Amino acid sequence: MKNLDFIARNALGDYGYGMERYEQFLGWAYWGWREVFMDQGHTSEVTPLSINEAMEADLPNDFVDWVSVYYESRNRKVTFVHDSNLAKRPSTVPEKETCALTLNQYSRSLANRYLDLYGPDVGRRFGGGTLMNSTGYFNVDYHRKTMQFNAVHFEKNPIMLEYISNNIEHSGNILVHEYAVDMVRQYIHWQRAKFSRTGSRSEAELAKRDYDDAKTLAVTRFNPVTVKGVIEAMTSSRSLSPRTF
Amino acid sequence: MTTLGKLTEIYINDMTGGRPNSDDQFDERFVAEQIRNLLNEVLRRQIIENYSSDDRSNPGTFKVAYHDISIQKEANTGRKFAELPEFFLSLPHNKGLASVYHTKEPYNSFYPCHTPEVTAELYEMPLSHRQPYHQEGMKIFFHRKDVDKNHKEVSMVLVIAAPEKYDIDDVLPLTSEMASQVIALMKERRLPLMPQDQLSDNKALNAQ
Repeated sequence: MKNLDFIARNALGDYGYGMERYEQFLGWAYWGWREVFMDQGHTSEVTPLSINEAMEADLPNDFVDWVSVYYESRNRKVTFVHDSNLAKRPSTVPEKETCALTLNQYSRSLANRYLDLYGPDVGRRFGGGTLMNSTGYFNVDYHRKTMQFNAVHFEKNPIMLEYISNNIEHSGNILVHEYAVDMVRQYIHWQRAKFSRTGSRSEAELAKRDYDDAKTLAVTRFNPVTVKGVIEAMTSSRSLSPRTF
Repeated sequence: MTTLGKLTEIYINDMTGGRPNSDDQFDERFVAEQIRNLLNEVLRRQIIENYSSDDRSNPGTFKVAYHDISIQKEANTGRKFAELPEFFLSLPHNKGLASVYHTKEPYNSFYPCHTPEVTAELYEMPLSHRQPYHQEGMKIFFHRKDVDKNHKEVSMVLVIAAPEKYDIDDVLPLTSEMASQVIALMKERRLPLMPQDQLSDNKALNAQ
């Protein structure tokens, strides 16, 4: 694993630049790494969510997308269901003060489960169907960086969030997988040629070609095609295909 | 080995015909200051502007390091800064300020932000462990507040031919052609300033 500082300084060395262009190259290294991350390098993290009175939890800083939301009960995962139609909650819940129920009681109540699920969108209540499970639903509010639930009655078992992380450690460095280091370096060269005020269009296109080659090599290394893999794929496809008599 | 004092003496000796005395118009201090300025001009004209496009590195001969410059806090904005010891050669991308680093960590250099209005807090915190800085006048501002957490002093490396740090008797890191260039340039610039009779009959004033 190499960090972005290493790659940016290597690219600077390729041109004989000093630290005066470091900031620019570091920025390009970040975008190059992002390309790797989106295709290959993403990691999933698991973190417990702390849910507040408004039945919502703040998303982690490195959150990109959710994988699953669950709680553990008797060594099995009970997953929550994602419902993008779930009514967005306000940041404060004034009715909570007047109904005098605890959060746990309110979550168990029929009022919450059937009537508060879709908020003012009354018509949605009749189309619930299979969505009416007893565990609960969640939705992600990207604007407020929160994850909202319609029911939380699992106080003893914390709700866990498994999510794709963008891997940025806020105190340190982004690490790039060894396979993708040259790809990021070539990305920097491409961007430099692309944004150069004196460079020609064809120079940028050649640099793009070099980057594509490096990317192909990186992807091949990440996902190598082996004889064993091909045979396994063929075998499984045969076994899954409908039998003909 | 050339010193500023030696160059000054050569120039005064040449201009007075080998007989410098107290009546002549040359004050060593001003001559030395003029030579100091001209050296920087010659450095730029003779060496840096003649670089080919592949030579992008700074000339190491003309780098001078100032150590143990203390990090201070600006009262109004709370920003951390350090004072520039003196001004440096004006080069593209502000390369005259060759390097800034914690004095105890000479190869862990900081990096400059040329447009802090655009990039401050964009690439800083998560991407690199290095300290970003930018220059405002004679101050170098550090973007991170923890810049003086472990080390209280910074060093700065400037590209400059005859820094004020070097006294009149200190050896200057000069190439020999630069020395003769400077003497020739000094004489050339002195010519229009000479009194009229000296211009016409080419005799020194004190010889009349």
